Amino acid sequence: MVRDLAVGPVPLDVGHDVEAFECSSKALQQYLVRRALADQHSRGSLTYVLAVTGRVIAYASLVPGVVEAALSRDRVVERGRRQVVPVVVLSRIAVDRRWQREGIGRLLLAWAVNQAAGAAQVIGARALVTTGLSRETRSFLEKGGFVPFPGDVHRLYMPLGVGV
Amino acid sequence: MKEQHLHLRVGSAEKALVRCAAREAGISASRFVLEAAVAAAEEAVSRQNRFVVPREQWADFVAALNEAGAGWDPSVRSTAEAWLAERNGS
Repeated sequence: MVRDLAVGPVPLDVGHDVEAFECSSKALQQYLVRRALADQHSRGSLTYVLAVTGRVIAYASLVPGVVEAALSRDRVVERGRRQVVPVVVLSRIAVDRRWQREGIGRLLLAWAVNQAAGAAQVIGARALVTTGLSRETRSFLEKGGFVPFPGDVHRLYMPLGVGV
Repeated sequence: MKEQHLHLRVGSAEKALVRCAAREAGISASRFVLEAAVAAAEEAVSRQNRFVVPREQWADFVAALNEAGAGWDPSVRSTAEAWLAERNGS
């Protein structure tokens, strides 16, 4: 149950047990088990976890990113005045399969959106971009307020406007 | 339902290696290749943090960003805030 969680999301650290984490996406599972802590130390990506007695049951990773307009054929003219929008990227979000259907994903997503909105106000990011590898994940993200990203079926975004 | 084909050329040594690994894993060579390819693709797609919008959609994208708070579901935020308040209070 959600109330078993002693605290909200905390930064992943070496004390967390990640080995037992299991989810339907092999890549999302392997990232937490093999890669997330190294990225945490190198600041390549920051991962936040929900843990029960030290064991990670859900995680979300945030990184800065950019959205650019595709180059037209006249590349030389365009160089130097290229349009770029800074964004926050929710690169990964996953819930252990034994903890699904408890609303944990929804809560973690809401928390991540809140964090991104705060960061966006400070550094001027304009949107939160995320990835939905499966149709189920994309539907979950759309229920959380994301809309399809132009020209990329696996991506969704949420404007983080001034009114946030 | 798997009804699409993906053809790929392989060297005989690579094929033998894949077959050997698939046998060890107790699955078909085709399933072994597919699972490995999908996991690698998921990782590559997840790792991306630079996104390119087609030119013809750029103006609409920027307009959507300029509509302050567009796409933002206030209930999402209130859920998060209520949750965090509950966490912090306990």
